Amino acid sequence: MLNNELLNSELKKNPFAVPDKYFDDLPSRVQDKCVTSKKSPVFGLISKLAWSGGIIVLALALFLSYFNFTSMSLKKQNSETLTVDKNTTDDTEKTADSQRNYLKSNRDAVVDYLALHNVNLNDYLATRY
Amino acid sequence: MVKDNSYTDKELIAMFRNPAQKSYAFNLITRKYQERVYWHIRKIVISHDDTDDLVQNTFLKAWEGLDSFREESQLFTWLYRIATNEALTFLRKKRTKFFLPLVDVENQLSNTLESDAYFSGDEMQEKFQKALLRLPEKQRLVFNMKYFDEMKYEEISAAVGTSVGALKASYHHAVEKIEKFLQED
Repeated sequence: MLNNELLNSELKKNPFAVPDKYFDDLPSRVQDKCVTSKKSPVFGLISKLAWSGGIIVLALALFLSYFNFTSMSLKKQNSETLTVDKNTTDDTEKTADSQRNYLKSNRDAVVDYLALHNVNLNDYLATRY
Repeated sequence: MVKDNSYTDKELIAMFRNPAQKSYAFNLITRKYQERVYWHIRKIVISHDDTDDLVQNTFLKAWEGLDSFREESQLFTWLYRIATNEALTFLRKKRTKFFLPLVDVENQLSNTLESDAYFSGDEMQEKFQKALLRLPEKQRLVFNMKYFDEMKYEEISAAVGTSVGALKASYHHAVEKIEKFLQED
């Protein structure tokens, strides 16, 4: 509820003023500002091209970083596979060496064993090595 | 020949969208609403020179945006919204530019009021305007629109994007504070 002072009609009066003929000139000044601020078609085209170029560069950068990341991951995976394969090969060679050593040091026992089971030593070795 | 001011907003917008009549239609729109837009901004920023810049910016934005104006609200409400944003952004920039707290900007506006060559009010009106400048930004805005412009809450709501209930509360608080300020001094 407004009190007496606020209901005073004098307070409702506009206490501000404007220079003479201000509102007569304002529309033409506004119009001038609108016309001068109009962007030329060439400027619009350049602006559009700049935006498109920026988007393409950004997309390319994203693609390249993704591509780099993927190829690095694959390389890492391959090197891990190679390590596993190398380990497997090493183990096989170790087993063969130990078998050879066993045959060398127990040659007589092996020959006896094979003779007992009617196995020709040369045939056996040919099938194994 | 139809008089310039007899065009409805709908007709003016349709004319604006016709390239051959665009400038003429916008001139008519400016003539129709310039005073209301000017006084709305002037009561917020006080200085005539600042108001003049902001009025031109308001109409420039209207010129740029009128093609995409969807006519869901009234043309005047839409202009009021642009004008309000321009004025409030201006005050916020002023605050940020000079690193001033809220109270200092309001003091500055109060000093502008005292030295303004285009303030023609008497002592009581000056006191009243200074009391308004002590209100928070939103309350001052709502008070001006309701008290001076005699706008309906629904219209204010469309212009400032606040619910009618919140506007009523803001206006009520503003009135209480103004009465208190006027009794203090």
